Amino acid sequence: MNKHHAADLLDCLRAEGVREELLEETEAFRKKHPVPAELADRVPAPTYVYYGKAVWEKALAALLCGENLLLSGPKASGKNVLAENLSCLFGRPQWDISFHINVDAAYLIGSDTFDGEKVVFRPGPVYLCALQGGFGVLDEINMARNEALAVLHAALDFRRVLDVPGYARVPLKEETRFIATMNYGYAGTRELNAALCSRFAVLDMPVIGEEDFRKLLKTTFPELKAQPGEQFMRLFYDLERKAAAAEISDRALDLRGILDALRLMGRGLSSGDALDMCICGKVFDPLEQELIRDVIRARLPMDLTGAELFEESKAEA
Amino acid sequence: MRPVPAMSAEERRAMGMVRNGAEDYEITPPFLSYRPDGQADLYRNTVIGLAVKWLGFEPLTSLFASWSGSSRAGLFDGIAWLGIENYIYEKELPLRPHLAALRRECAAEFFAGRGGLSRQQMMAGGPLLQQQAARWESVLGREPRFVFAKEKRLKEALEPTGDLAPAQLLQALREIIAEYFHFSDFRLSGAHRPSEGRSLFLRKERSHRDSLLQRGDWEDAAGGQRMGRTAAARAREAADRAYIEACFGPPCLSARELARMEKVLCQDAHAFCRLWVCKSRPEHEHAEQKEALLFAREAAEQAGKNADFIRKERVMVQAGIRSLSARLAVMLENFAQELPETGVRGRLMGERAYRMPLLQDPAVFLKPAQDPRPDLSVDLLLDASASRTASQEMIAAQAYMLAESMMKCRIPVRVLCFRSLRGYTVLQILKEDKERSAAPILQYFAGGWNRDGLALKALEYLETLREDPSSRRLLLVLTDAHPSDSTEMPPEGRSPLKHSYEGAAATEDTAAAAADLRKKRIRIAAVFTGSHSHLEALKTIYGNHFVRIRHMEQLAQEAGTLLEQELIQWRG
Repeated sequence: MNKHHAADLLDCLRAEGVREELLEETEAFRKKHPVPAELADRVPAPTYVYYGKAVWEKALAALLCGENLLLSGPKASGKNVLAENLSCLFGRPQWDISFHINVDAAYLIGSDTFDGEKVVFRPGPVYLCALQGGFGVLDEINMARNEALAVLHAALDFRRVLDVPGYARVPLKEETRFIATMNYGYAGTRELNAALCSRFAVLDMPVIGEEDFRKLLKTTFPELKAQPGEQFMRLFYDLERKAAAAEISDRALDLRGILDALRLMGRGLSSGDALDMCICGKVFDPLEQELIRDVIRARLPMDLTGAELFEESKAEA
Repeated sequence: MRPVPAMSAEERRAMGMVRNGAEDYEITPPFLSYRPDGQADLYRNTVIGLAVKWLGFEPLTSLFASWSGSSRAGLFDGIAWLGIENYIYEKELPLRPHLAALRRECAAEFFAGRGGLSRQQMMAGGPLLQQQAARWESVLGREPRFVFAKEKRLKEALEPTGDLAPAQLLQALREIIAEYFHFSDFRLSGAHRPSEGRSLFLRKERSHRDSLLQRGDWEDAAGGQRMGRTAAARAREAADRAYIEACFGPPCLSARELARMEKVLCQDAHAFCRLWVCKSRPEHEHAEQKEALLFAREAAEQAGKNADFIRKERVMVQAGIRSLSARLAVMLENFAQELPETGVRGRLMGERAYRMPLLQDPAVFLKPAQDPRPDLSVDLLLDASASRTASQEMIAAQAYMLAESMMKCRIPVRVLCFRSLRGYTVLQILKEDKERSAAPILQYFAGGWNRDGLALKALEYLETLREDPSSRRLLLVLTDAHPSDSTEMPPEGRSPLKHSYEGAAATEDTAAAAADLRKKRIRIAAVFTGSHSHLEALKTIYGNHFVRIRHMEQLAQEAGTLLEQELIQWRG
């Protein structure tokens, strides 16, 4: 799988028609804040490019203004892809912080630990991100309890500071940004309170559109034939409608799964096996699996092979 | 292909196939198709869905409704579907190339399933089988043979090309039915045939004194023909069922499950009653019955009024939702908060750290509490009898606010309404607990009677059918505590007379049903919006588990208090 770097991304965004002044300012930001060598491997080199001019322009404008971003959208809207793309484009080291119900201040900021001789402070990802001027991706932020997130308030608003009880008051570096993602309505999620929401610029992420889907397929699998590629795209939207109507769960609505299935077919698996592994296998209710298979069977033959799918055996960007 | 039956796993698959083809999950499929082994037929169901997509739901169902009163409706359906199949195939193929392979599979299965029949026997098996055999022969690349030129002409007529406009196709199909089968009365059949439809509804309507259609000039129309007693009873029963199905749609339980439910519940005081459990219907597909049409129009009108009310009062409604959900969130956190405990991972407890090197005790960390969300789910049951007519918008808005508030706190909430008419107690699911939108609640409307006791029993029964029951269930009934139904109760004791389901007898029956629910560990409480005179009955049925709402503004506060009480008692 090819990895993209800031220069490739800039080219893609220029081709997308993203406003030039935003791209120039982003480049200037990157030059102004070079990454220390020891953190270079934290700057992501994304596999996928996020397509969507309007979303890109909003996200760039917000981050350039020093805002933190809250990417809100349903499954398969590319929240994490965009977050990774932004870190790459701005050339910032990224800390991924996955939220769950038991996230607390200690998990985020750091906690005391015992090093065998004495109690010492072990910094958490938010602390490190603040200190190193990174981009902190707060993934599925609404899975955590609101009270656990209160420790971030001072870091996220105009104060831009982390006060670690018993240790130090750490000001955030100028280039530090936080990008939160959330899927409203996911099982286990909760409503973000107003105090937290007000500290983010909220960007509603739509499910990937048909044109952008085609571009994604084209860049990821340049040798993919147009007609079967189109059917895989339509399969995704068939599943999206089914999930939106709650006939199947969101688990099966998996853009990554569709791309993975294509990849497996490039390695010689049949479409039936590949889609079983990458889509149907993600739900565990036999009837739900059957409902998903019905959608697949109405769209694609089960014995499609890589040779019928790609121009030359298998090829992937 | 046959009309929609009740739900089962295969039926759910078939529905899914149709809706997938239609690219519309709001529709109730007009037809479903099964293979001879009982499995849902992928190709045919997809074609049904595609027909909805390309021709539109209304035009398609109107076509089939236009001959549904004929004794040869099944034949006409089959013939029309052959024409539609060819048209749809041509339209959809460029977008879905795999359709060609599915069609060939379908053709092969057709002949495999009729292995014992020769081609000649098939050709002799009536016009439908003959035309089906000819279609699938052609699909498999074989030349069908006909005895008569007319049969060949019919086959060609049933191959309309995809470049026709939908209206032209539907007209062409009517012309085929008229020319080849000599049928010409394409008016909406059910409403135009006195012996089959309307008159029986009207006669029954008068005898029961109840109707969903509270307005309309048809109620004064003449009654039907007199029939022999047994035949009349049978016809009445069929007409009642047809009326209920036309108004509320097909039941969401399988026929067997519904029959079992009736057998268990329709006893003693409810011995003369029937049950109907269905989902709310955004569209009305039984448009061939005039009563059903009027009903649909009134229901749609009321849904519009409910939505307007919510829009007009949005500030109050949103404030209520915010207030109640905030209160609920705090309650739930306290309700199920587990205490942290010591463990080998988590946050280091400074005061215990010495135990690790000295005592080799690794449990010096504090393990956080588990997810505090309680295993709680709520059913909202709305009384949808005619006595609530004056406050329909209010009730819909209250239910909407309660449901939205609970959904914000991730409490699964299901909303049902109930009413009785023509002997049926109809339990209508307005919103399933997994549905993310409370908007379907606005389809609430009032009409008919209310047999509260039977509705509560039915709800209790439905609980037993759940695949993933919560350990804690709360039933909130929005009621005026005035059970009353036109279907009488059987004679009791020595009295040979039946007695009415109203007053003290109905209250006691409802109280007994509520007590049964409590025994099953389902908490039941009421949000009361009735008149002062029914307070006594309210207390008899619900004890102290109720709040009285006089104004909408009170709802958040009072419902919050009620829910708090219930949760506290639960914890206790």
